[in-house]
Amino acid sequence: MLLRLAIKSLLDRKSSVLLTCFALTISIFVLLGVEHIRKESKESFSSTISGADLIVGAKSGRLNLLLYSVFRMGSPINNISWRSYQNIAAAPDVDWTIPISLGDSHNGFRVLGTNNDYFEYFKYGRKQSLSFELGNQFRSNFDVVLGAEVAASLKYKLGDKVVLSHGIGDTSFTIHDENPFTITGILTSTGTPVDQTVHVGLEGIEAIHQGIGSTHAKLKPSSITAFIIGLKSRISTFKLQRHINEMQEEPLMAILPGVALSELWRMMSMLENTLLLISSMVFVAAVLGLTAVLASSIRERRKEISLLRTIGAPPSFLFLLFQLEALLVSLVSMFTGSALLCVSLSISQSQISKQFGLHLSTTPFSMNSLSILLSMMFITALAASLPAFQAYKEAKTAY
Amino acid sequence: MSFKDQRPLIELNQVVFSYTTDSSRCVLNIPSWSVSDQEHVLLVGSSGSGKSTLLNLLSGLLIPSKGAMTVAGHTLEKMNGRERDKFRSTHIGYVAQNFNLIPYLSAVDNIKLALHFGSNTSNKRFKVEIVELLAQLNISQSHWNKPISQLSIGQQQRIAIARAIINKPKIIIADEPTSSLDQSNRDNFMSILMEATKTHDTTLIFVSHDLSLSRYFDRIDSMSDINKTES
Repeated sequence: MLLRLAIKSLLDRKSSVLLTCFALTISIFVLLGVEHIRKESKESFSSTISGADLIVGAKSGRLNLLLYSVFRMGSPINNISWRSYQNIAAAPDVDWTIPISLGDSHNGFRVLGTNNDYFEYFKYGRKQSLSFELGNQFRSNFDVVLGAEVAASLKYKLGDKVVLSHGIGDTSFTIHDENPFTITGILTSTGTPVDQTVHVGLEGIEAIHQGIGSTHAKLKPSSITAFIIGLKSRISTFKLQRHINEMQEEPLMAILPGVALSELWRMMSMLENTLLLISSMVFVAAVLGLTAVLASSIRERRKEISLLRTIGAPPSFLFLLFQLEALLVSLVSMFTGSALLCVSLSISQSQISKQFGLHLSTTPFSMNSLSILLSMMFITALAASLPAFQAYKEAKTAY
Repeated sequence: MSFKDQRPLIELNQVVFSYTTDSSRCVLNIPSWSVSDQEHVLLVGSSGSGKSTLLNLLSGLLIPSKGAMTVAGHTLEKMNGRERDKFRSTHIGYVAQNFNLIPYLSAVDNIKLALHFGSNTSNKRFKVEIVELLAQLNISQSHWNKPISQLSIGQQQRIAIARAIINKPKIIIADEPTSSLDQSNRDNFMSILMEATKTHDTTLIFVSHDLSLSRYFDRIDSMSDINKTES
């Protein structure tokens, strides 16, 4: 009966209740959205690379190197000479290397020049290897392997021709249309930036920049952007890192991906906390609005309170009625806020993925978001205690 | 019917009530007043004579500052708030001015609400009892689930009476329920109320300024005779 009374009472004050619901819905949408993006981006970043011991690039910032080599974000400031790469790759401690050459694009997707070691050694998530959904790796200079999302969004299939553009923007004035690439493989989806990458051989990159049309010419690149190293034993990680960082022939930098990621989290946590604080404040403001609506309704509901008392309602019933009304408004807002977030995520998922390389799932529910929702219920109950207590007092002293 | 030899259902002895701690500013001072079981009493008095305060004391919403009150076998001043709330919901049926029904609830829900506080009956039994009562009071089935605000005065009267008697209370307190009704609605209301109290053997305390209603009652008490603060 209490629930029925609370629902009917809220429906009777539709306009003010709807406005409050709207404010709460927006605040819940923002709060859950921030939490979801924070969690997903962290997971997405953490699972992008696995099993790599060092990443080597031209001397710049550690984060910059991590971002452009692994996450395809930002731009490298310099290249590494092919000779330095070969020297380091030949070191006795090195088990495998993956060369990376960046700087071209196709329809807004970044092009990564590499060799077939990429498909053998690159690991993501929990040391999962890349696998082919269709086709296979490079066999000639103008073969291209597409990430799952590139193929899906551009509706490409094996055998289609792809033309690369110079530069990494959406538009480019230099299009290498004289040397089209043929799609020979499409990778299985990984949920990492690999999905948004167009992979070509280093020879292919060299060929289009030198204007050589031969599909099987042996071309040696003069430089690459970065490379990933896997070591035979982890014990030699720091030794090799120091060696690379102190190389006299060329100023290079080797970073440990895990350490660089931690640095990224430290930088991000400040922003995350600020965003969470702002969205929490928005929620608190909306809850205070709800409290104000309930508190101001006490005066107009005096008659109702006195009637309920007359038919035997104890003051605690009035306290619970006001609490329940607040919790119902909060619950409905949580439902609509979450639903709105799910819809927004489904609509913007591919755009966010393409624009920021972030794979966001469309279900924003996790233990964290659940605890946020529970905290919201607690805050609502706490804030509603004031009008509920006023109603309780009114019920006690109405006569 | 003679009520003189019966044991009183309501009995007030040396009851004093004051809204403040200052006993010299008391609003009620009743040396003795009683009402017998099934008696119908019309309580008349001017505004501010303490009628509503007396009704609130009888229903346990207020407790006397001094004196003893026994209502339906319960010594109200010795009961705590929760006990008095329970007492009120089970022993007192209340019909107020303008019927005081909750406008956004349906007829059935208004009655169910009273039943919720006053009965330990199961939900299923609730429905049977309400349906029986609504049929007994000739309330058309098409009106049962309409919000009160959409019903006519005549229908609201019947529902207010239904709500007051649903818990089969010993006493019905009616606080000027006819004051804003026209002649025809007033007569209609009185005949339904009298019929209901007769059917359920209920004691009736009815407050009104309207002495023309005296024909419906066994006794007419004036507040000026009961409440000695006025003299």
